[in-house]
Amino acid sequence: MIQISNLTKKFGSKVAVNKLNLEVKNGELFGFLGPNAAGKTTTIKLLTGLLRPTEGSIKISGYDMQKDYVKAKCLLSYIPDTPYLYEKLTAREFLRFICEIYLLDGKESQKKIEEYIEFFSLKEYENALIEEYSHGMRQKVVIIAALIHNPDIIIVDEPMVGLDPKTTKLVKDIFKSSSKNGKTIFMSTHTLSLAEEICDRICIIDNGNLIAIGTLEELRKKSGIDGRLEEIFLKLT
Amino acid sequence: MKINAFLKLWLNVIRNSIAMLKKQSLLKIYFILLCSLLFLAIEFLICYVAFSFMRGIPEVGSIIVERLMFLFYFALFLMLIFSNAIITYSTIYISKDTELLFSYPLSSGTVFRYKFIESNMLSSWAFMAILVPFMVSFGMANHADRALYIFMFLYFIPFLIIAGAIGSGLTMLLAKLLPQKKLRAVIFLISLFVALVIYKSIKRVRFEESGQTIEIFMLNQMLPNIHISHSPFLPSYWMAEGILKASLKEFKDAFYYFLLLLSTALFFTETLVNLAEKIYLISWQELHSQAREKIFCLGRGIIERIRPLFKIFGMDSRGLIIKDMKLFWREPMQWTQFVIFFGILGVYFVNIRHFSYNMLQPFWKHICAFLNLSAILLTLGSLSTRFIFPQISLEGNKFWIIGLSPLGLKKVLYGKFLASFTISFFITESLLMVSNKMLGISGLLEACFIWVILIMNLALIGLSMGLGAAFPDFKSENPAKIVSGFGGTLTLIASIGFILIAVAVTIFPFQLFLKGHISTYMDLKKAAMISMGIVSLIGIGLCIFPLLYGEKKLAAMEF
Repeated sequence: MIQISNLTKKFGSKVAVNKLNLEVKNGELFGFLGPNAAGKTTTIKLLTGLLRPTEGSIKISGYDMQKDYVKAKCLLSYIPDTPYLYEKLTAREFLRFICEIYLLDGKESQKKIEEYIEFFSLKEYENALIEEYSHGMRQKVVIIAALIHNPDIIIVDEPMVGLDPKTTKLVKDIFKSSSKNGKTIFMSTHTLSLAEEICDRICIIDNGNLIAIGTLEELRKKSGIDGRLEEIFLKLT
Repeated sequence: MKINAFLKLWLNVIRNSIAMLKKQSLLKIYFILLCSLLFLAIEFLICYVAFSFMRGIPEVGSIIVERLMFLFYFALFLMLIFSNAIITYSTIYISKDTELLFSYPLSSGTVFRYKFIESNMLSSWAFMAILVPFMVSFGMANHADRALYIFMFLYFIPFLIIAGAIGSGLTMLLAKLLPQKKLRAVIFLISLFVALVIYKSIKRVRFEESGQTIEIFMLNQMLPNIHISHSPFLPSYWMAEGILKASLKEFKDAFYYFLLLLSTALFFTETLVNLAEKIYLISWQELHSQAREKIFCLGRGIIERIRPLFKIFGMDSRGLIIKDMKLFWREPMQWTQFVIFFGILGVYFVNIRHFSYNMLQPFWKHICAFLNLSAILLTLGSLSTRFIFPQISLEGNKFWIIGLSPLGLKKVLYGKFLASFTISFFITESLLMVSNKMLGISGLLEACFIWVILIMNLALIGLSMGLGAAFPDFKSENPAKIVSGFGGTLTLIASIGFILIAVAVTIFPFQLFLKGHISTYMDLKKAAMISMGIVSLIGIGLCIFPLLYGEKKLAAMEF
């Protein structure tokens, strides 16, 4: 569960996130939408502990992200839009490093790495250095790294960028099945059709302020538009 | 357990990098190895001859060696702190992997431990390479016991760790306490303060007041007695004193100094990790939360005002030059090195008269003038490798923007070359003029020096720019990492090699004249012209061929 209370982030005089209050429950697939520079990535970086709030707090399954950041981070995974990976490692070596960081059992993690490499069709490239990978292949490695330690919460920033249609379908299915299994998915995206298709609840922010939150039906009522999410989004922002 | 994961990470990176190296041309690898060995051998020989010469000076030989050791380790200590402070900023705050690491459940101290080892190694490897031949030559010139080499090795590690801990700690504290906007001014003021303290601690004695022979006076002046370097509270003192004791076979005392270094290194490391646990993540977060619009404005005023000066390069090249200048200005950790090294030389040259160098006999005055020229050229050589070589690489993944623009890569290369040449020529020529004026040298020697500076600027800037274009590293964003590759090492070796040749060729006719082998001024003039011809020929070759090679490589580049 993610609890965001009165969250504010300022960059100098600019308010990127303004008094945001949110609660995302276990098993929920939560869409986080907004136009460019609305404060989505800043919120995500606050959620992952990469930025410090100017005001307010974030709790990850009860752990405060500022006070108990190691415990909080143990429970979550982050999939950034432009991932950084160690260029001079192979995918297998990188994933092993992640398993060791999360103190996963050696044999079990080895088995999991094998399974995921196979599942994401990376077998052919497993011994190539990451520096030789395309953007989509890198994204696959980051997604595996996020899933491999079986986190309770997955925070995703633009998950489908660079992925081919087959992998996009695969990732969508993973998110859906994970949320059915009680995992929380917090997903920021500009792909409104994706949010419309898979999210249980959607939140729209603009200029750091929460504009609307609820299921697709609730958003339709609020906006007075009985149409696609795209139309609702354009009206509200 | 987590540190084990980082160790494995390193081992994998090193193993894969070596595997990649094996795929490259063997000739290239052997060539760079050979050049490096040659460089170390030359350094060893020069140091060995110098130590043997000093040891042979009756009565004062041992005093000079002792003073040299204290001074050397003190300077090394300061340089290591400075180098660590700069590289730490890149590795712990700018490096992209910090964002990845902080998104995992790793404590601030764990991430710092890993990054500290990385920055300490990056900052120290070049100094280690210089240190080894220096120390071995000292041991051999003093016919020291083999135990001395064991002690030297033992001293190395804690010494490097202490300097690294101070440098990294300073960077972390500055980043925590100061907003980025003020960081430039504070770093500059601290550097200025350190330079002033060192300058003030130099004991200045006029030759007339010294009561010494000219030889002893000169040696004293060339190895100034900096009191701070003799402070028993400094690790550089323990290092120097320990080595001197070990060379005298006083191993008990030598071991005592090793324990002092070791315990201090352990204490500093523990303190630093505790400090990192408290402030590293917070300072990292704060640095990434700076008011973006304000950072963006840095340097706009000054650089925009001098924009018309670059009109002669054409509108497109001017745009490129202004962009480079703004990027350079907005990276204070980069340009402070530039200011400090040339600043120290400037302060020294302006104060030459305080040292009474202008009162010296012609022989010593010439020696002094050539040493000043060498100092300017060596600073230029190392700074051109450090700043000019990475310029093309630093375009990074944005390179396609200028690559596809109508500007053309050829114009980009020569635009960067001309701008760098103009700036460095102006600085080095001004420094040389000050040195010449203060020393009171004029005429033929001054003309030769002015010409040498012009040629050396062409050669060193052309070499760095050309090889930087021929061996780019678009993946790394850290200039220190870019320079430590094959191309950067080759540039540094070629630059220093050419500086040694150029100074030797320039000094040769003047030494012959002073020793009476050339009798008339006309003959000296002819000989000097031949020297200048040789320097020009090599220098212009070193400028043109690497630039052409770089241009060819850029033209063939796919991006």
